[in-house]
Amino acid sequence: MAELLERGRTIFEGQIDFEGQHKAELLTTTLLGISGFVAFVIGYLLQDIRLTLAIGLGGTALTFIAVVPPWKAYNKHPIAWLPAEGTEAGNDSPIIVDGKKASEGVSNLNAYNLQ
Amino acid sequence: MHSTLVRAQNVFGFFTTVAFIVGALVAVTGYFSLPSDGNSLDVSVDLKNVQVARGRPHYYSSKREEYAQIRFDLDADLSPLFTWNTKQVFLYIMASYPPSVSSASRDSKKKGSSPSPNPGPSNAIIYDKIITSRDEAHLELRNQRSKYQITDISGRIANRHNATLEVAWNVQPWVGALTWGTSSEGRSKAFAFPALKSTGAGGGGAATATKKKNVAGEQTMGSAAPAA
Repeated sequence: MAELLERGRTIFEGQIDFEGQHKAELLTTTLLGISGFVAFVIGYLLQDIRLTLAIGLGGTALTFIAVVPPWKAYNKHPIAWLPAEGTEAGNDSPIIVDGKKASEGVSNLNAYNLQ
Repeated sequence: MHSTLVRAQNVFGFFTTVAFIVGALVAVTGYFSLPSDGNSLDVSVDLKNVQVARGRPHYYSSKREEYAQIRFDLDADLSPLFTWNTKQVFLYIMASYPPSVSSASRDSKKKGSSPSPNPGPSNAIIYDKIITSRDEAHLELRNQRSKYQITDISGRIANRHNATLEVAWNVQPWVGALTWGTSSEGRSKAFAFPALKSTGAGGGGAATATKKKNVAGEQTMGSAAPAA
């Protein structure tokens, strides 16, 4: 049940990685900007304001479809988190802060966190 | 942009910006596509007939006023007003006449000894039409009866001189500001409202659509008070 809820929340939140966020931002600006520009120019050349409205709204709908769902292309650079302390992998690779090992202080905390 | 909701908000937010800019461009180009001078339009109006009769503002009114019924010819080609941003054009014809002497003197009494400034002509719309497309923008009306019978605020409009008919229009765009226009060609020769017709029958005499009722009312009133 908890797993199901967790999966539902993941779908609802639709998180993407940092590279993906950069892409999404760029795509929003260019797609909307271009559709607005094309809508105005085509509408003005053909003297048809309904065409301007149609192209503008169509471009906006396309942008929504392209940007809003968490497409796979936005999740190609997942963050490589350090392994958690206390696990086997964590013990093999100690955390280095300013050139010193910080594992002692952290491992004490981990005793609480793992509860 | 990390979650679905934030991305949707971002896209919609930038969409409103783009929509505003495109709308502003449409408004500006539409405005500059309009003819800068109304005189370049082909517009003319001529008076055919004018009658003044007594009537009531509405059926149950005890007030009796003078109403002018006007017939006119109109030639107008308003198609240059249809730019890509024009939604519709409101065409109207005004009767323009000098304000009544009695109301002017009343004004000067209120203000004391100083003579009242020239209040300018009174305008009353006698006909209007909403034109929604370029195809309907060419008008040729012959001996057209006015839509509205007009009276003055004083209730007296007979025997007034120096009246003219004037064509004017209001361009209503899809996006942007309303613009008004007139043409010096679209002005009739000066005419005078004639003396009151002796009987209420025939002609005009009603302010509203209940014209027939009013005429009938006139006759009963006339028999009750022949001194009118």
